[in-house]
Amino acid sequence: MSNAKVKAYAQALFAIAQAEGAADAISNELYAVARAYESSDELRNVLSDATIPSERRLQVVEQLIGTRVNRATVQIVSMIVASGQVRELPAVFDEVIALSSAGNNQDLAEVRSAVALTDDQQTRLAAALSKATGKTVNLKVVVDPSVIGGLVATVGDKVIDDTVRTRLDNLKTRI
Amino acid sequence: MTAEIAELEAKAEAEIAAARGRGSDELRNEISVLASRATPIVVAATLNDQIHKDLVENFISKVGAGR
Repeated sequence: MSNAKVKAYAQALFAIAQAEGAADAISNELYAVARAYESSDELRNVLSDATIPSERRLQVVEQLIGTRVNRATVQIVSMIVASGQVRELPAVFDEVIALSSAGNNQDLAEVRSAVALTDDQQTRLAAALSKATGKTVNLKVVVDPSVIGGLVATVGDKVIDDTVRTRLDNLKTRI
Repeated sequence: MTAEIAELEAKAEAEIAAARGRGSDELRNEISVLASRATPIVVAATLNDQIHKDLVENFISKVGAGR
């Protein structure tokens, strides 16, 4: 799917979220679904397997998130799965959260950490990133064991990387 | 004849030395590849909760201070 198509999809979905009167909540839920999709091979395989009947894949969506999120979120995820565009789900939903952040005059700050961060750490991290970038940030923390330790933050085009993985990569290159 | 034998011996020695060098380089490369694969696993296993916490706090401090 082209970048323009991803943006068009995202704008349409964000309009649905706005119409539901819960744009922020639905955008946050879609962001969480995108991260779950990225991190689970099993989920990706099931949702993208065209040999599994569409009804069965939609049942999986319903079972996974049906009772835990807004109804509109379930419907949006189901729509993406049914349309055969599930591989684009992370890109589309990331664009939705970017639209939601922009609507609140915020920039999306995605932080990857090897471990979960406490509420206090997240509050101080958001403040530090806002100070460093000069922008109010909408902080999203993704637990990603592949970073090994430390954090990497992406705010727009700016990447602040202080992860153990990158340090090891740099060391490897030097050796 | 003696000169020819000496020449052949010298050639053989040179080839053995070259082969030894190649073997050593290949071994060194293999060790390097294995070490680079093992290091992240070993490092990850040695990071305890306190180290993770320190890494996070260090990041927040550095970013907040404008790095």
